[in-house]
Amino acid sequence: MDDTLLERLDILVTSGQITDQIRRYVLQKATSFASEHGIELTEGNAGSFITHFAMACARIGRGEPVVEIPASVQEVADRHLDLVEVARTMFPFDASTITGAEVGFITMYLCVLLGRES
Amino acid sequence: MTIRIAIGGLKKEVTERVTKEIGGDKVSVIVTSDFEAAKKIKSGQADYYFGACNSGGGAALSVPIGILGYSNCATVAKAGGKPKAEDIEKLVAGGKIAFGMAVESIEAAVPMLLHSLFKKHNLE
Repeated sequence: MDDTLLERLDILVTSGQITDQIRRYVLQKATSFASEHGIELTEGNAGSFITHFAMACARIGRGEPVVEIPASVQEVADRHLDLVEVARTMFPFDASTITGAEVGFITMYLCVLLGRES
Repeated sequence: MTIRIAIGGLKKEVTERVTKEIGGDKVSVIVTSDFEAAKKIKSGQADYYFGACNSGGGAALSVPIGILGYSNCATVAKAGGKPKAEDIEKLVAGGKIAFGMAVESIEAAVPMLLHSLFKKHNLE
């Protein structure tokens, strides 16, 4: 994993935007997904994903999930229903607290990581 | 004076195109990552940051917030919302230097941001 990805998470912790617990959770989940699929996490392919995932965990944890999702992102998610199920299990929260929009965003990032979408 | 704008986040090519179309020779554009853009502003190599993400809910701006501080950053359009020129003008006039937006709002928000910046810097 690029040092820059670790630095991103450190900045989010230092500035109080995420907890160290979220930092560790995101690292574990992202690393596990990458390892499972033979992907190397770099700044180029995972910078936005890591940041988004961490911030999503923080806002869902606060009870403030995003509810709006652009049609273009929803269309990507609809094309990859297998990854929708993976995305749904990425969060460390009860499924009832996670919106379809949050799942859709993560689905899109997983698609990009796997090279299914550009 | 040329306003130096660092562009990061998603759909950078769209943000770059709109910035150059509207800004012309009043702006110079650096296309990079949110991370590098914030560092360039902090070191005086860029004046402003424009960054987009899908949700508009923080990912485009969270690293710049961490590097530049909350008080210097603002979200101008979240997913499902529309940017408002008067709100953007207040943010620019108030000294914000890093701006996040939802990707769907780039074409609307960037011209508003630039016009507010031109007004602030007497470049209209």
